[in-house]
Amino acid sequence: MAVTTTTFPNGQVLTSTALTVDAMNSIMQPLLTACLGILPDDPLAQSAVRIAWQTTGAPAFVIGQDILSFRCVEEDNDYDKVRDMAMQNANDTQMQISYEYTRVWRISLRFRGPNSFDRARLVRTALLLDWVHDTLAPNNLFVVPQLSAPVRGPELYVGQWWEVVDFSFLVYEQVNETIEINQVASVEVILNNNSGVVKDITVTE
Amino acid sequence: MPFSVADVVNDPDFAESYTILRSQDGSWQQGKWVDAQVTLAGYGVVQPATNQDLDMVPEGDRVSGAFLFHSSSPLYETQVNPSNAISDILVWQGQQFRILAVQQWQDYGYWQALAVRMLGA
Repeated sequence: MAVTTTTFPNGQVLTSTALTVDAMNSIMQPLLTACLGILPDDPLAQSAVRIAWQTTGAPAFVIGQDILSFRCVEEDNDYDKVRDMAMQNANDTQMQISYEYTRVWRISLRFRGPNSFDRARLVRTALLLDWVHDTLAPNNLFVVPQLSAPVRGPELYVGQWWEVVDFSFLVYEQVNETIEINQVASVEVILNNNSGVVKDITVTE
Repeated sequence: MPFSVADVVNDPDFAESYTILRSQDGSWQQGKWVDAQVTLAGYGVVQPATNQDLDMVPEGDRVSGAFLFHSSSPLYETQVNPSNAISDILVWQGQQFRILAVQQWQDYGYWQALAVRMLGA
């Protein structure tokens, strides 16, 4: 799965399991499709669950069509504040620092269509099943089981009331990152006092 | 029978060439809209519809603006029927414009499209 790496002054990120938004979309789309009971070989598996905010738009839907669109955004809570950190020497001039922390994702769902409320409840129920856990765990993702109720709020559009239901849930991501930073192997210190005495000291680790 | 004004739309004294980037045969793939795009020649009167506006946002200057494109052949905005497609993109004088609205005057021999600059800069 997607891993981001980068370099920075005096060091670089060696490994990071942090998922990109694209990676999250790729994981969530088939998962939510399965939660709705749509099998992977059904043509609806490609279109019934849609990724929101497409750059140049996309054809929408008609009033009788059931569509789920979703978006993945990161947010803060108390669980993403603490980081485990371990430091070790890689060699004389480099040190590795390993971080482990929790990243909080909010998955926001908007259901449209005549069966939107029932479909939202279906997803809410399915998220607590073992197979969802088994699907997400290999990607270091875990659904927070405290799920809020879907909110039904039909909207008036082109002279008709369109069924709309909003629902969101949290997913915790366990992130492991290792970075490498440069360190000095030795430091030479030259002491030179006012009377002309010179002392040359080399400090090594 | 309505009077056709296609001759005016195509009058070389007023009309200009532009390019139409048309979405067709697109489909949903794992929740993403994937386009197949064809390039067509367009011809007709092009007029500014709004002033070219400068928005000074903190990140820099953004230039918007809309134009009216006329054509004696159909222009399309995003649609579900009869085909799954997103709005035509019109390329005129090196700039891309995305259609926001189409007025169907085909009974009078032409289509009129309101399109906005896509660059945003």
